[in-house]
Amino acid sequence: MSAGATFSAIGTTAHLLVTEPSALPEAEHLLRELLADLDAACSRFRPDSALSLVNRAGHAAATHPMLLTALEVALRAAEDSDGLVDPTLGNSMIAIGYDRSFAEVAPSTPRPVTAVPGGAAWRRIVVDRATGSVSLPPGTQLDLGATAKAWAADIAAARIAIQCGCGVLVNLGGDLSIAGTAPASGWKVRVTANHSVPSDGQVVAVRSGGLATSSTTARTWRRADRVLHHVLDPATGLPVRRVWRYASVAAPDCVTANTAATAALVLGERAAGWLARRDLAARLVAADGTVTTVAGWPDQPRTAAAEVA
Amino acid sequence: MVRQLHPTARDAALRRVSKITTGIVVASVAGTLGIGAGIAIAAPPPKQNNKTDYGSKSKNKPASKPTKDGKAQPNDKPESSVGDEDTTSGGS
Repeated sequence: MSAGATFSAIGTTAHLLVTEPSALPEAEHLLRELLADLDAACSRFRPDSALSLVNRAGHAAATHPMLLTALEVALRAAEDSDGLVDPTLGNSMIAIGYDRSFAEVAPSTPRPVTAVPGGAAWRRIVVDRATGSVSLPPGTQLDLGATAKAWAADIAAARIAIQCGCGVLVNLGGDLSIAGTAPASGWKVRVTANHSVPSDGQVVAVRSGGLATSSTTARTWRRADRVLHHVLDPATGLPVRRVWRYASVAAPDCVTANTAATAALVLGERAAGWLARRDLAARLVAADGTVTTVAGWPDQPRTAAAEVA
Repeated sequence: MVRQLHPTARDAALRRVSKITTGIVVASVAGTLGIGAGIAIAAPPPKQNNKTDYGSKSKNKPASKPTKDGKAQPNDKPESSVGDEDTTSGGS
């Protein structure tokens, strides 16, 4: 029998599951503590966060160790995805109106957006682990939203499993990481377009690693005649075309899953081949509801192969 | 009737026995040290304390549950399932 806790943190919902109910209080304490640290280090919306300080000054010495590692993780994701997942799209996000926590973003305004392409500035970021310093190219604004949450899920799950000695699933806004021994039938996860409004999608069982879903239909807002969302194409600085409503990817860890899911939305029609070459099990749901599965993602039992668009 | 060895032959035999004994002792010591070193290398590092360490990018996750046939999961691919979900992965 498992036990769980749900609470709001880092601008999303945290869902914690443990296989040993008596471990839940300690596990929840550990998760809350870690997410508070993550917020202080990596929040784009807190003026006092280490990330905001770096974004304002362009550099920082002896910065928050969590920001340092989160940035290294983001740069590795950028390298692995050849820039499809870019941590230097802060200015692009601001330009399209996502310049405050999503709850405070105006749902609709008549003002049109201006595109600010990425320019691969991530290649020129300097991280010095020895001194704890970070240096950004002039004018660059970091946004670690894509990978920091997934990385936090990974380290939280690992730490809780070790300290509490039980099976753990940490879900941060749809980015899942699993550690320890899963329940006999695995953790049952519904993959869907919006984690807070589960309706359609598919239920799968996962026992280890990470699972992440990126969506073009969650976190949307309108500027002039355009409906915008927060998954940006680094080449244009604008939200990616809606080839896919959402992409779910399973991987050995949540950072890899999140990176691949985001990259899939950016790649559009080329996503399935890109994922297959990496042997990453994935489920892609097209704008019209057609489902494409890749690299061993299980078939959906008893239901039609398409979702209601 | 007991036949006495020539002194030169006796000394040579003693030297051979001494060499063999020395060789066995050296081999035994080397073997013991080798096994010890092997154990030291194979042994897991001491458990870290609970201090927060954000410096590591590796997750060092505990082992996941093996499959029914006792083998470890070859990868982290999901399996088909039905029924109510424990949690949800969706865009956020």
